[in-house]
Amino acid sequence: MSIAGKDVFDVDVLSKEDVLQIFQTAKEFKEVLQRPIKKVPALRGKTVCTLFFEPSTRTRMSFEIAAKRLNADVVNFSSSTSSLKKGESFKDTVKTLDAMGIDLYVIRHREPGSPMMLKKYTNAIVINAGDGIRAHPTQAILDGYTMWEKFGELKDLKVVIVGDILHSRVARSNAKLLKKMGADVTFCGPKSMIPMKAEEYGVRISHSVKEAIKGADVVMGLRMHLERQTGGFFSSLDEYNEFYGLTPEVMKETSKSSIFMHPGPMNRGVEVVTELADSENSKVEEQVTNGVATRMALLYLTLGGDNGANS
Amino acid sequence: MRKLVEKREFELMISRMFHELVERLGDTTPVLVGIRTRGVYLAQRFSNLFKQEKIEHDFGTIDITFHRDDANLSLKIPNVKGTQLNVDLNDRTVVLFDDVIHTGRTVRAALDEIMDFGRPSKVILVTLIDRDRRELPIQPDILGKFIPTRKDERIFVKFSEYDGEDGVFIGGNEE
Repeated sequence: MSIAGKDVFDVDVLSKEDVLQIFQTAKEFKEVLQRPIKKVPALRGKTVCTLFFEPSTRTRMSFEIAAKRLNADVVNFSSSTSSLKKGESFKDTVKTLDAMGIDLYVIRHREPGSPMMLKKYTNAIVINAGDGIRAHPTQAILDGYTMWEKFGELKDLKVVIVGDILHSRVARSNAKLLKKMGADVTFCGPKSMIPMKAEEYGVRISHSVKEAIKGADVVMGLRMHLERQTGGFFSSLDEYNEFYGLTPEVMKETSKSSIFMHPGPMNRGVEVVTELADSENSKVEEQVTNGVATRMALLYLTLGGDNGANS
Repeated sequence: MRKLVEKREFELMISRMFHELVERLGDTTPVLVGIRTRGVYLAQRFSNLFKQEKIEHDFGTIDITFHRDDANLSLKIPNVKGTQLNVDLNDRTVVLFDDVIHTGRTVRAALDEIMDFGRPSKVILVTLIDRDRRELPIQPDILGKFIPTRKDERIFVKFSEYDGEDGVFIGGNEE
C-alpha cells in the first residue's frame, strides 16, 4: 500500500493503514515544527499550487506553510485577480498552470466535485481542500490526528459532532474517516440540519445534545454556515444557542478526559460559548498546529517516493 | 552471509575506538548522536563506556529521512522513527555515530539535520565499518575497520543487545 501519487478527493481514497501512516509521519513533522529551524528539505524542487475559489485563512495558510516547511515552492492562484476575469476558461487556466510545471494542486471550490474536474485537465496530484458541502479530507485527517494524539487510538472512541451537519463538509469527511478507524460517531443537531440518509455514514443521529454527549470522549462543534444557508432552518440564532450551544455545563456530561474541538472559524455565542472555546479542554489551537503537521505528512507522502519498509 | 569480524575482534575494535575518542575529546563534554537505526546502537555502546569511566556526556538520536536527497527519486522511504535531540547544540562537540559509512550521503543528511538544531563547535564522525565507494568527500575521524566492497554486496553489523550476537557480516543485496 502506498499513498504516493494518490489524488486525495476525500478520505475514501485512503485505507486504514494509509491514515495511520499519515498520523505517524505527522507526529515526526510536529517535532520538526518545534525546532529552532522549522524546515526540512524533503520536497526540494517540487512546486505546489493552491487554487482557492472560496475565502479561507487557515486551510490556505496551513497548506502554504506546510509546503514551505518541506522546502517546496508554493504559488498561489487567486480567482479574483486571474485571467478567469478576462473570460479564460477553467480548463485553459489549468492547462496554462500545468505548462509551468506544477506537481501538486490544492483546490477549494464551492462546487462539489470540482477537484475531480480539475484532475481531468492535469497529471499533477490533486488534493481537495473543501468542495462545497461534499468533502474536506484534510480537516478530517487533522481532526482524527488530534484525537489519535490525545487518546492513542480511534477505535471505540465516542465522538459527537454537534451543529449544522447539513451544510458541513467537515462533518461528512470526519464521519467517514472516524468510522473507517472504528470510532463511534453521533451527529447531533436540529432535524432541519441533519442531512437525509445520514444513517448511511453509519453514525447515530440525535436531536438532543444532553443525551448525545453522555460519556463522549470528543465533542466537536461545527460552524453555523450562515453563508451557505438559504434560511428557515431554525427560528433564531438565540434559540439555536439555547438548545444546541456548547457550554462548560453541557461538557460535564462527557467522559472525564473529554476534549472540545472546532474546525474554525468559531461563531462565539452561537454554537459555542467563549468559556468553553478558551477552556483547558479545548483543542482548537492545537488543531491548527496539527493542521500544518498533517498537511506536511500528506504532501510528503503523496509527492514522495514509494513507501517501503526498507531503504 | 559470511562473518568478517568475530565477537572478540568486535569488542576490541570498539574499545580501541572509545580510547581514541576520549583522547580526542580532552576535557570537553560531548553530545553523542546516533543515526537511526544502527548508529544509535553503536552510540549506546559508547554511552555505556562513557558511563563506566564516569565521563559526562549528553545523548541524542537523529532520523535523517526528511533530509535524504533521494526521496524525489522515488526510492523507498524508510519508516520514520524520529529525531530526539533535547540538547542545545550551540558551541558543543557533537560525536556522530553510524555503523557503516558507504556513499557518505547519510552522513551529509545527518550533518544538515544537526545544523537545524544549532551550531556545534565541532562534529566528529565515528563509524564501525568503512565499506568504501564514497560519492561525497566525507571521511570518518575514528574508524573500526576498512572493508572495501563491491556494489552488489552489503555489510551487516549486528549488536548483541538487538540481534543476539556481536559481529560484522557480508552478504548480497538481496539478503
